[in-house]
Amino acid sequence: MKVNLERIEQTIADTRDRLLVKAVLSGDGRSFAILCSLYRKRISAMGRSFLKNEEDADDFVQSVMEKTFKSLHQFKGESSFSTWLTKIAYNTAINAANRRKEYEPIANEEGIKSRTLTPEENQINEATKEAVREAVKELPEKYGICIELYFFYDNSYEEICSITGLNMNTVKSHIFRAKKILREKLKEFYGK
Amino acid sequence: MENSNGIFIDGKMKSEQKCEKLMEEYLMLDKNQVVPLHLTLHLLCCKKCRSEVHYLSLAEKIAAKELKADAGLKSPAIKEEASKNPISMTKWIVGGALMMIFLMFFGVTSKNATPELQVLFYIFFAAAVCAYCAVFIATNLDFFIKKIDRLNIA
Repeated sequence: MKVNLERIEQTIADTRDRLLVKAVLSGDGRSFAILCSLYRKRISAMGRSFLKNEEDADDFVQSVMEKTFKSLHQFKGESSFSTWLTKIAYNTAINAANRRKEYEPIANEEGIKSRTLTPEENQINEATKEAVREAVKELPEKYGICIELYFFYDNSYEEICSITGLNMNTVKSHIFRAKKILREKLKEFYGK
Repeated sequence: MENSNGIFIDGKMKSEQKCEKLMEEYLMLDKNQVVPLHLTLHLLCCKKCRSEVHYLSLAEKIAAKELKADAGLKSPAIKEEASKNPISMTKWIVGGALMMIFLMFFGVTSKNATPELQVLFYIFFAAAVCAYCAVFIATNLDFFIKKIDRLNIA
């Protein structure tokens, strides 16, 4: 039931995005502003992971949004808009001239904190971040980001493959390892 | 005694191995993937695994919460787009007019037709008119609800 609700939520979001894209293509600038506001946070988070500072990350968001607007007519709806946009952001970040030498995992960020969490949820969130940090630590950048795309950007295996160009088995095995670490970290909660 | 202990320990180990195997299977699942039936049945019976799965899925949900886009369904642009009818009113009027012309044309030209053919045509036409009205009302339900509400208020 819970899974179904999440699917319904995803379908609603996809329909919303398709309607907004359609409106933008027929000349409605407001709809593009809505799309930008919906996805600014995740693009900015990716920018902070790849680029050196907050200002660069702001420029990165601007640049991704420009690219998105220019190529919006190419969006055919084969994947969700969010995946398509994340792919543009990922490619822009990988090729950015002013990028960090090493990818800074989003799990290291203090800024990524939801304001509406209960104390227990906060503890669980910290355990997840720790697990991701541990899983990402010894991996090359492109494998590390696929774990973050799964946990923080809420992308499925297939979407991660489409964004990063990695093969399915590689993506699955790295995420599986991260989940195993998370399972260990969450053990203290099971006994309660 | 030794035997029964041995059997008990052996049984416990087997059960733990089974839990471990099924939990690994759970960890392999993708986002929003349907949990296989045998795994669901195991989760119903095993409190420990059920608790682990609960916390794992909660952890994933919380982690993804912060970067998730809000639904944003209340924006005027979305409402406007969503309320657009896929079939325009012109098409409905043209379709209705064509049906009427066809009926009149048949009425004029079928004077020499057999009664069976005439009955068959009128049954077919009645069914077509019913279908036309039903689809018209269904696709413009929003308009009719608003009209009825306004009449009730008046």
